[in-house]
Parts: sequence; structure tokens; C-alpha cells
Amino acid sequence: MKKRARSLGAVILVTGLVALAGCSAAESGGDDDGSVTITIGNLPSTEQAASRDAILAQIKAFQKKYPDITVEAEETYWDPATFNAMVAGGTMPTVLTVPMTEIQSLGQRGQIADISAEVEASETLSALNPTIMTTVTGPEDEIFGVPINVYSQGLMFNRAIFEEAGLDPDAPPTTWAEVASAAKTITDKTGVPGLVLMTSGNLGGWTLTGMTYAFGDLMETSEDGTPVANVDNDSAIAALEFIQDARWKDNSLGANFIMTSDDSRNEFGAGRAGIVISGTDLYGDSVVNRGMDPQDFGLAPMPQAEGGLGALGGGNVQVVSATASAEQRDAATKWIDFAQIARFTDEDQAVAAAKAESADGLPVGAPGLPLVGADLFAQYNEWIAPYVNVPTENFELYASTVETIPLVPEPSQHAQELYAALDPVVQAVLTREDADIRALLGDVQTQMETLLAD
Amino acid sequence: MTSTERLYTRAISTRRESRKEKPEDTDRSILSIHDRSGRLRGMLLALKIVLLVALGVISVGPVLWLFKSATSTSQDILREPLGLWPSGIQWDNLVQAFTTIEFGKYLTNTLIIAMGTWAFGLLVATTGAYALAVLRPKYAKVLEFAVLATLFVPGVVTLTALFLTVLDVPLLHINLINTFWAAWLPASASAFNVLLMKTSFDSIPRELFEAARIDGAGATRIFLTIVLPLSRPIIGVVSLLIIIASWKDFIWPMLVLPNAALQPLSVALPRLAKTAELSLLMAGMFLSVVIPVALFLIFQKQILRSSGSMGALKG
Amino acid sequence: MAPAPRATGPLRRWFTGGGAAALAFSLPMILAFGFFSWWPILNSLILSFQQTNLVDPAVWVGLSNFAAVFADPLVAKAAMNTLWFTVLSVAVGFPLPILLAVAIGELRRTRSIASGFAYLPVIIPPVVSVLIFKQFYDPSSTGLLNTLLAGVGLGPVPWLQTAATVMPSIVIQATWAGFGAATIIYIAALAAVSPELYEAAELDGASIRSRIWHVTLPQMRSVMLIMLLLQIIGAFQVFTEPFVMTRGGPENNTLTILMLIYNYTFISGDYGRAAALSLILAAILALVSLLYLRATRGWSQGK
Repeated sequence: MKKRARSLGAVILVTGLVALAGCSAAESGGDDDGSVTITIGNLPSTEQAASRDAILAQIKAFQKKYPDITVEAEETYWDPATFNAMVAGGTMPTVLTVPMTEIQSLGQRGQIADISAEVEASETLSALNPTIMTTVTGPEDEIFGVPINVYSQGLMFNRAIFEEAGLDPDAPPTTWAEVASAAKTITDKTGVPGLVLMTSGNLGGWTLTGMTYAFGDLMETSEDGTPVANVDNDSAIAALEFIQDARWKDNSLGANFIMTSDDSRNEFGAGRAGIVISGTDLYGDSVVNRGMDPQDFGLAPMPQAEGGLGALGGGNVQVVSATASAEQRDAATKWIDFAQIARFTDEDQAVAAAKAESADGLPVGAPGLPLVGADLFAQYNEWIAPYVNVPTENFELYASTVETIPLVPEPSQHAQELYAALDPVVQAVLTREDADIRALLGDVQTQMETLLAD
Repeated sequence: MTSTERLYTRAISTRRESRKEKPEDTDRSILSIHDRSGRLRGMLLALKIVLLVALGVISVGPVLWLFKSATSTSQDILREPLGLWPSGIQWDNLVQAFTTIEFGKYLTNTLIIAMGTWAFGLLVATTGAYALAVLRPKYAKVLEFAVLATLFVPGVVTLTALFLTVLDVPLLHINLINTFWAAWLPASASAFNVLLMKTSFDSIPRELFEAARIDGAGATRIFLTIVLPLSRPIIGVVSLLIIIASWKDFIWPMLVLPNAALQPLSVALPRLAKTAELSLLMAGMFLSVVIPVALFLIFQKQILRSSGSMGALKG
Repeated sequence: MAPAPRATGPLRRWFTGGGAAALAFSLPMILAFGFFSWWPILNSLILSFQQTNLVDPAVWVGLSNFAAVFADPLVAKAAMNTLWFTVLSVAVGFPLPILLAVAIGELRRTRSIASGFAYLPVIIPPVVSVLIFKQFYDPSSTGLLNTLLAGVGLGPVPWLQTAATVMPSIVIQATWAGFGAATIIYIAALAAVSPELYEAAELDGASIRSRIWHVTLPQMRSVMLIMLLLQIIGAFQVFTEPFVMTRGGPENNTLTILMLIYNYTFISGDYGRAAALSLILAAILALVSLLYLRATRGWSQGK
């Protein structure tokens, strides 16, 4: 661009463009000499100094072990609004942590890599809990990622409010009838909403799907490997009738029915909710980010009706970019194994991670589901015992019952669309006394049939 | 003294004289000085009080609430949104915002982005409007239509396409991701600002340009000596619009600046919201509101002064 | 101006006639719009006839994206909501800044304070103001606004919780966040009205009301017409407020066209369908604008 500009504006603009041309282009991974570079997302921000340093130290240790692999960390994290643009622009880091719910649709859209070969080649990764691995396994046995933490849907409850209402926090509700009566008692005795349900941002559908499992039906069944919509089943109807009665007969669900996950966590953290149906991995969020007293945090497994199928499972998965080369895929899988999974088999790693977390004021030993078999998990818990900083005695009951309740994966196809379509159904039942449950579910059934037929 | 300058000074002095004729009524509007001192005095006072109180409560109230939250504990924010510091004022939150969540770094980024956006935005709006309103080449109509048409295309629509453009600028093939250019340049294509400028330039008497041309002034000189000085108020307004919009923009900088070291406040705060404590987040939000407000108050005086002496938009 | 190049004939005439200057001054705008507005729009147009996951090469699918849009029952719902929001927000948000600007224009020493107050909400980043209003809209009787309403014997209002109250609540927030921008433009326009006109009207014995009606408003007519059009276009594109405040709830009563485009893009990953719906929306807006401009062409010339 060496044209002579003839006016102020053009001069400035051309100068700008010339300066731009000096900007570097994106570098590519993989060099000629067998060395490979990968980028990893989810580097903790500076306000979590110890966790950030722990990751950086891990990278150092990893590179000592694998001198050919260069790992560059960035603070990029999963966000549904930017992920597609990130993939399109090729700026997705080689490794990124993604919610389990997204895995199937991302895999089917070809936006993340199939790493089944790499996982099967790894001793530790192939030993991961098979129940959990189903959630990241595609219809043709592809593996779209490595689960790095798992939770099941259950009841979070506020122990202080239970006591205030005259309920025993060590005997939380185990049937839906008990949930309803506890919610009513809490509302009547304390004025706090007894049961808070999430309704927006697809979490209404997520909650209803989990309740449907607990009442005994799936939202999508499978016929010869093809998924079939099963939205208008009896259990979904029963779950919605339960919500309807709690809302219009007992009035024990509070007044706010536009609830995102952040809203519900705020309500719970502030002691303005007796029970919340949510993921059971929110101890840290409630205590650290929302200032809740650790002693008030209670957990109970998802109550199962007669013939209940189990608890809906979810969690976070580390995925590999679809554009990664074979070398990068291999390096990325090694890194995930080293950084996330090895702590269950390597005492030094387990202790280092626990130390860093407790130094950051993050909870160590918070209740969750084991990624690995029971024996390995018990051993891991022994290693980190000195650093545990949560009132584990409050979670013993939950931990003992959680193993008896199977983990049921989310619908394998179009889960997000299903949830999005169910949000309004849950909202309708909560905001309109005359909501016709069967008709509402019938509409969603029709929508899902169309979607699944594609 | 050229005829242009004569015309120009005459235009200015006529305005001044029209005000000087009645020094006691320098700034009349719908009501005259006579109305103000006479029967309407009480009504005006009532209007003033009602207006200021209502605006104060409606506009400043939420900001005061934010200040209260910024200096409360997380539990107090959640439990007692209306309570006045049940646990005492936590000034430490504001200090912590700078140390723990690196507020200063994000603020610097925000300012860099705002200033660059302002420079490019103003450059495009003033030169473009000048071409459309004053120079009027044959293709001006087509150009104006093409600019106007972009007003009707929702931003979200072109988000991905725009991102792809920034990632690999057509013809030049450079990648602007993780550079401030990506935040500066796309915002400069604002049809609204160009049209606002054009409306203002349209109202400048064309005799001025004719006279200047006769005096041998070229397009650039007319632009610098007549158009820009006469359009100070609208330039102020447009500057404000650009800077505020840049301060508020969220989705775009989040897309093009994945590197946290370059992110502005609007992107950093929601990102930190997932991990930082609520009270610190509130402190960060409050600080992110206070600074533009302060800037605006400084900036606003000039705008009002200039729009008091000259028309920004003519009906 | 640089000296003219040694060219003869039409090129030289073009140059000395100011053609080069006009092009040079147009260039920044042409480049900015070309790169960051016109090309992305064109690219979206191409996307609407394709199916792509942004990783593999795109496939041409003809009009099937458009068919998918018309087959979606939510489109009609979203269109009605968007229309309802537009009607409400224009009914409140159009006259308010004008009245406010006229009133502020009468202030003297406190004028800058009043303008500052009016503009304050515009400066607040959406992330912050939406969070604040969500707190204010707490539907229980202990919520902030409901506590204030109870003070004057009203409420509690369910705000975002029912189909009837949710859209007005969102309009209140959107108006709060936006009225200052229009007010500041009207104040600038008012300042341009020459005092002589008022003096003449006063000498004719015009009352204050008729001064406003016959002088102020006609003088601001063209600004008002542009602002109204921009407000309508802006309202049709409402996204942030319902997205952050209600996610389209309760029961899709605040789902807007642009939110649907967002859902197609980010929830379904269906860029083609999103682009198709965007085009339909853009076409509707273009039509509305054309009709509007045609209808008001006569009025805006009035001097």
C-alpha cells in the first residue's frame, strides 16, 4: 500500500493499516523436529493465585517429563456464546474444559476431536469409571473427552433453616412426599421458600428431566440405537403434578419463578431457600463465592420414587480441539491425564493440588462423585486427609447413599433443545394455575419428534 | 481578510450580537426573562425541584444502591438488599478490588479500547459525513443508502461473520485477534454516527463553502477551518456516544480478546463473577460505574457550553 | 491539497473538480464499512443458504433454512413479543425524552446537573444495570420495589413472574437504561432553536403551550422523526434485556426475534437457520423504514 494519500483521513487510515500489517499471525502447533506445542484453556485468573501457580508448576513438571511437548496456558474458558466463533476462528485452545451436557452435540457437530484411540492407549484413562465414561461416548463409540469431575443431581438444603423449622438436618427427605411436607413446613415456620426450582437458561428442563428419571422414566428412549422422543411420559406428568401441588396447594416454592442457576445459588447462599434441586458439587460455590456458613450446607441424594431410575449425572469434561493434529491430540491427552487424573494414582500430585486449593481458600474434600473406582478413591482421600477443610461429617449420609443410586446420563441427542423446550413448561406450571400439563408436554413431544427425525 | 473569513466571522458575530442585544436574556428558550421573573416563578421553581428530585432518585438511586452493595459483605448483599450496612461499611472491598482482581489492569485496557475506538470512530464519522454532506460526489446517494442500510441489520446477525472477518481480514489476510485493533476498527463502521454528523453538516450554510472555494480553499482546509470548528457540539455528542458504547460493549471484546491480559472491565467482570466473591464483584462493578460517570461530568460541561452557543442539530 | 498530477482530459477535470478529495474523504468510511459492515452482511447472506459447522466446508442447501424458520412455532410467538415490546417501549420511550429535554431546557444553573442525572443510566454497563434491576424486581413483598410500593399502599407486583407484567417490567428497565441518550440529543437540538422565534411568538401573544406546540416541536421535527425511526428499529432488535433478565421467560413471553436468532446460533448451532431468520428480520425492518420514510417525507420538510 504505497499510494500517496491526498488527505488527512486517508493518511491516518493507511498508516493504521500499515501498522496492522505488522501484526503477527497465529502460530501453528507441531514442528519438524518431533516437538509439539499445545495450548490449554481454563488457567485460573490471578485472584486465585495459588491454583494458578499450581497449574503453572504442573506445566513445568509435565514438560520435564515430556521435553518434546510445549504447553502454553491461557485464561480462555467455555462460554456457549463464544465457543462457535472460537472454533470457527481456530482460536480454541487445544484443551478446554466443557460442561458434560454439551459433549454429545459438540461431538456430533464435529467441533471437538474423537480421542478414543488416545484414551484406550492410556493405562490411567482407560481405567476411568465406565458409568461416567458413557456420558462422553458417542453413538459410534467415539470418545469426545475426559471427564475431570462429576456430580449427580440431588438436593442441596440449608441445615440451619431445617433446624429453625423443627426438621432434623441429619434426616433429609428421602421420598417426594417428604420433600413436599418439608418444603411446606419450612415455608410455614420460617417464611423462607421451602423448595426452590431453577426454571431458566435450560435448567428448568434439566431439573424436570432429573425429576422424571427419579419418578421412573427417560425423556429419550432408544430403539435399535436410534433415540426416540418420550417427553409425554407418566413420570414427567407426575413430576409436574408434584410441582403444581407444591406451588398452588402448599405455596411452598416462593415467589420467583425466573431462576437461572446463579439466581438459585444466590438465594441458597443467602439462606433464602430451604431446599434446591441442583448439582451436588456446589459446596465450594456456596461457601467461597456466596459467603455461606460451611456448617449450614447440607446435601441429600435425589429421592427415588417407586421404580425410580436414578440420579441425572453431569460434570465437566476436558475436550480436544477438532483442528488438533495427531501429535497434538496425543500430547493433549497426555496432559489431561497428567494434570487431572494422575492425582488419583500419584500421592505427590494429590497432595500438591490439595495444598494449593486450601491455600486459595477453596474447599478440599467437598462432596462429589468419584471419577475412579472405590479403592483408588479411598486411597486418594487418605492422601488428602490432612488438608480437608470441609465439615465432612455433614456429608457422610450423602456419601453412603450415593453409591446405591445409579447415575443416569443426560439425553444423548439434542439435550439442550429438549431442556430449552421444557423451560417454558416448568414456568407455565409455576405461573399459571390452569396450566394443562399433558398439552404442554404433548407440544414438546411433537417438537422433539421433529428434531430427532432429522 | 478573505471573504470566507469575513463571512465566517460575520456568522459568529451575528450570533453573538443577537445575544448581546439583550444581555439580561442571554440564554432564553421557550420562556423569556419576563416569564421567569413574573407569574411563572413559582411554577418554574416547582418544575426545577420536581425534575431534579425525580431524576436524582431514578438515576442516582440505583448507583447509590450499588455503592452500598460494593461496601457490604457478600451475605449482607444477598440477605438484606435494602439494609444499610448491617455488618458495617467494608471499605476494604474497594481496595481488594484493585489487589485481588487486578482492577487497575482491566481499567487500563478499557481506557485504551475506548480511546482507540473514539479516534477511529470520529475519523470515519467526520470524514464520511463531510464527503456525503458537503463534497457530494456523484456516488454520494448510493454511498449514503449503503451506510443507512446497515442500520437495519441486527448486530448479532453479523457477529460470526464479523468475527471471521477480524480473524482473517479480506485482501490483507492479517489476524487481528488478541490485538486492540479488533476492538477499535469494527466499531468505527457506525451508520448512526455518520448520519448524525451528516445532519449537522447539512445545516452549515452552503454560502460559507462557496465563499471559501472562491478564496481558493481546498476541501481539506474547508474541513479543518470551517466544518470542524462549527460542529464542535455534535462532535462532542458523537464522541460521548462512541466512548460510552465502547465502555458498555461486552460480547464483541469478549470474542476478539480471549487473552485476559487485554480484556476490558465489561468482559473481565462477568468472567470473574464465576469465581470471585460477590462483594468484590460488586466493588468492581461500582468502580466500573464511577469512573465513566466522573469522566462524563468533566466532559459534559464542554458539550453543554458549546451546544448552548451553537446548534448541534438543526430542525 | 496536493498539486494536480500531470494528467490531461477527464482525469484532470475530475481531479481539479474535487473528485479526488471527495474520494479521499469517503475512503475511511468506505474501508470501515466495507470490511466491518458490508462484507460481514454479505457473508451472512451466503450463510443463510448453507449449512455449516464452521469446521468442515459448508454445504449449499437452497431454501431449506427458510423453510425451517417458518416451520418453527416459536417464530410467531417471538414476533408477537417483539411487536409488543416495540409498541410499549416506543409509547413510553419516545415522548419521555422530548418532554424531559423541553423541561431541562428551561433550567439555568441546574441544567447541567439535570442533564447529568438524565444521562447517568446510559453510562452504566448493561451487566451492572441488569443485575441491579433483577434485585429490584424481587417479586416477594420484601423486594426493593415492592417495599417502596407498599409505602404508598400498592403491590406487591409480581414483576417478571407473570405474562401480564413481565414485558412492562422489561420496558421499564430498557427505558431507564436508554432514555438519557435520546434526551441528550434533544437537548442539543433544542439549543439550536433560535431565540428570535420564541421572541416573535411571544410578541404575537402565544401562550407557553402554543410556543412549545408551534415553535419548539416543529423546529425539532426532523430530529424527532429520525429518533422515532431509530427507536422503532432498535426496539425490533431488543435482545440484552430479556436475555439477561428472563431468558425469554416466563413461558416464552419475552422471547424476542433476536433471542431466537441467538438460540439458533448458540444453542442449536444452526448458523444457516439463524442467518435466514436474520435476513427475514432485516427485510421487515427495511420495509418498515421505507414505508415510514415515505409517509413522513412531507412532514420533515416543513420549515
